[in-house]
Amino acid sequence: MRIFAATFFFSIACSLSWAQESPFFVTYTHHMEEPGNLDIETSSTTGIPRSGQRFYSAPYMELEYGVTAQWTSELYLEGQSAWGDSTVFTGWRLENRYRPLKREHWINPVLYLEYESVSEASRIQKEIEGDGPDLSSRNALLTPEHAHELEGKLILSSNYHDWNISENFVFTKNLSESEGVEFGYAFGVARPLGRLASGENCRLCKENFTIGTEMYGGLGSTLGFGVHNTAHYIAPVVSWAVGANSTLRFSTGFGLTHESNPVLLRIGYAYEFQGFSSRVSRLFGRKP
Amino acid sequence: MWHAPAEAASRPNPLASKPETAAGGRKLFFRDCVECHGKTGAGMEKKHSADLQLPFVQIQSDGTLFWKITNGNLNHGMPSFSRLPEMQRWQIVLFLRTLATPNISEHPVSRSQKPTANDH
Repeated sequence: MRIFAATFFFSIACSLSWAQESPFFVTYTHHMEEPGNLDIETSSTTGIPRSGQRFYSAPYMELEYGVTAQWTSELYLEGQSAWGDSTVFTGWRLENRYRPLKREHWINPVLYLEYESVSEASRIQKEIEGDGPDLSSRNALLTPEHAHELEGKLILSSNYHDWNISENFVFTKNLSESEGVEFGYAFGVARPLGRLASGENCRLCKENFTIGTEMYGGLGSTLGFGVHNTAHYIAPVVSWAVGANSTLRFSTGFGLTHESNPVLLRIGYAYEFQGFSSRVSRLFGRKP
Repeated sequence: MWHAPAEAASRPNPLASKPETAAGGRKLFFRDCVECHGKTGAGMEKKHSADLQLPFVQIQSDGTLFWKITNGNLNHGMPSFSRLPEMQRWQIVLFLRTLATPNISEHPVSRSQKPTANDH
């Protein structure tokens, strides 16, 4: 009965509001999820192959929760399907971001720590570290190779005259293998199309669109640092606040090296449940 | 203490001569602020959020209110809204002024609510 009530309650709980998501798929900013809000997003990364590679699509789902105004936590579930190959579940990730400074500054740091339990068949490329993913081998060879990894990021983000400029420095340690620490990066710039909000509820007004560009790639590892034989992309991005609590994002990434896909297509849809924690508390008869 | 720096507090609202833009501020308020401050801005006890109608809020300068929207109050659960374009934050400030109660004398400011010099 409570499950039915929960489903019914959430289906009518949409408030008339427009979610404002970052347009980036890889680069993180210093903007945290609002405390008590739950954001559910489904996304996919689709790789257009070059010779020797297979066309693939790697969908994933994120559950992002604002624990406090300074701490956001996310759970990821991911899969992958390659043309002429198989469809596989590639693992899960648990991410935490913490914003240590309480005021806005010229540069705003955020500390990021993520635990990953993923196979070598993972291709969501939420970030790229080391050489990048294996885009040529079959899933039957990659799926049994399972890694437990700890990933850290230093996120630096600035707002300047409505532009957001963010830089991420990535380092990952495979806890299952002795393969050194892998490095990566992501940079992004973005701004809303409209500076003023109109007084009307509209779906196609400029204020609902944010555009930008991000660049990301691998930097090798402690066993061989640098850009040699690594994957890198430059990707225009756009987000559209389509309506009540929801946002669509699109990105086309252009591979810059032979180790990259020539083109990486990304699409994501996010829905935000405002006041999620309060509503769950009330559902179970507890004071929010 | 949640006080705006003097330089921030003294910033004028660039939209002060465009009251029609408060309509956009209303839309933003209902999107981002109502969850905690309520539809009338009267605040919610369970959220420990401020009653934005009260004189001790309304006598704060535009620059102070803008600074507070930009930085939030992370210790007390109010997020930063720096992700909004600057002009949209000024629109919210413009809308907040419409929440002032018509007869301020009906709401005497208590000593604890009196603004300090840093609030202006």
